[in-house]
Amino acid sequence: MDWPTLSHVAPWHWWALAAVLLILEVLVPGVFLVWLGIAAAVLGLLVALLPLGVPLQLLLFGALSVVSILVGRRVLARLPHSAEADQLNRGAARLIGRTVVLTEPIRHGQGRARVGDGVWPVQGADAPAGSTVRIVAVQGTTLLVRPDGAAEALSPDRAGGSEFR
Amino acid sequence: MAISVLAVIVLVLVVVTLAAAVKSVPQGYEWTQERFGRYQRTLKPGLNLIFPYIDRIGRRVNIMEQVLDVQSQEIITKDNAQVTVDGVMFYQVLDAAKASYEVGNLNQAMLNLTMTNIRTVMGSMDLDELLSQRDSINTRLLRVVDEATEPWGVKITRIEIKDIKPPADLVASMGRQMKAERDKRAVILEAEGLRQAAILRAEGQKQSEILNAEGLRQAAFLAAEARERQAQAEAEATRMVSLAIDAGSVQAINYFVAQKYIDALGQLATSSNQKTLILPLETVGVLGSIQGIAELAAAASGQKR
Repeated sequence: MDWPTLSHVAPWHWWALAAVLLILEVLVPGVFLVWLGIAAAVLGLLVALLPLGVPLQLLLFGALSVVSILVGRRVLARLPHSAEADQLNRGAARLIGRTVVLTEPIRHGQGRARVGDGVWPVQGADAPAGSTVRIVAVQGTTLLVRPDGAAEALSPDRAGGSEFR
Repeated sequence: MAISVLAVIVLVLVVVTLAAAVKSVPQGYEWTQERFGRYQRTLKPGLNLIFPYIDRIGRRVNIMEQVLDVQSQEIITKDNAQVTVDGVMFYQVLDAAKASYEVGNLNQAMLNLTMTNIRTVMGSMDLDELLSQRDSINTRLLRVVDEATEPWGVKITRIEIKDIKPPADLVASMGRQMKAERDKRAVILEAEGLRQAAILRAEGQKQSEILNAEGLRQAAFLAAEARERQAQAEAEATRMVSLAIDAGSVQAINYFVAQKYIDALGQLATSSNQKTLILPLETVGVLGSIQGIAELAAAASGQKR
């Protein structure tokens, strides 16, 4: 039974740590211990293969954690995810492409249209009440429309990208 | 040894940094990210990285459709009835940033707005309208509240009035009114029935009397005709008798009279009533008539001679 000290850490210590981290990940909410666990497991492999000092091991552990997150995000982004997930909680964006009928005329670019059983504020070219328009984009709670027939879709609102790309 | 301690500290720093940088947002929520306290962007569900130390998570906004109970409140209608009203509203945050920073306490703001608007809308109606036009109340409420909450990035999808409770004595009065209404209808129907029946009876009576009168009239006509006929026959008979007398003599008549006379006498004699008093007839008359018969006979024999 050799406990890890500041002068000696065996590969199996890292693997034990990896297992403990993964167990904690399941028990404790918040998805970030899994990356440390992956880093610990990889480091255990490195320590088994290469002679490394304890301080270096510790620094490597930190570095590997960061790397594992960055790599992990890439891998996750590549993995196919279900189309249903994209359809959930899209707010007003789910309405893009629908044709709706104006309840109030669009004057000075502002009007209202009936969507489902509710009425939404719309913005677009002036049009009389009762005319049909197509929703092309969404700004908060306002729908951007254009007369039906001119179905040239605008790009939907900005995608929230990451700063780490 | 010191380097090992430093390495441990660095490792701890790395772990803490990771904890600050890796944010996984659950589905159905959007988190706002603040850089030095200023809104930066909105984190979508899934794994997100933010800059540690300078970025913080601001608000965790629920973007699912949610229900708010509008607690019951006393309202005075246009016709001064006091009613207790409660409701329910459904809303969905469409713009997490606006819902976080444009309004201080979103739920409270929406609730107060809805409650005051319920007062406004219902205060402009009288009680009967209130109880019968919930649909239009809901529509009006939704319109006003929805427009008011637009700047907060919230879509109110539905506002429903749940319960409208007039005070108990008013409910009792309404019940009485209802009963009176029904009673009135019943009485009217009954009277209508009686009237119809009376009319029908009178009609029947009238018809029967008319028929009776017609019968009598016809009978009278017929009787008159019969009398007329009889008179005609009698006249005819008289004429024939007078012709016969004209042709023969008066004695023929006397013969008939005498015959009747004697018949009558015979009847009186056989009458069962013994008290019958026979007035003495002029025997001469009787004899005269007999004599007339004799003369007739003589004349007849004379003629034969």
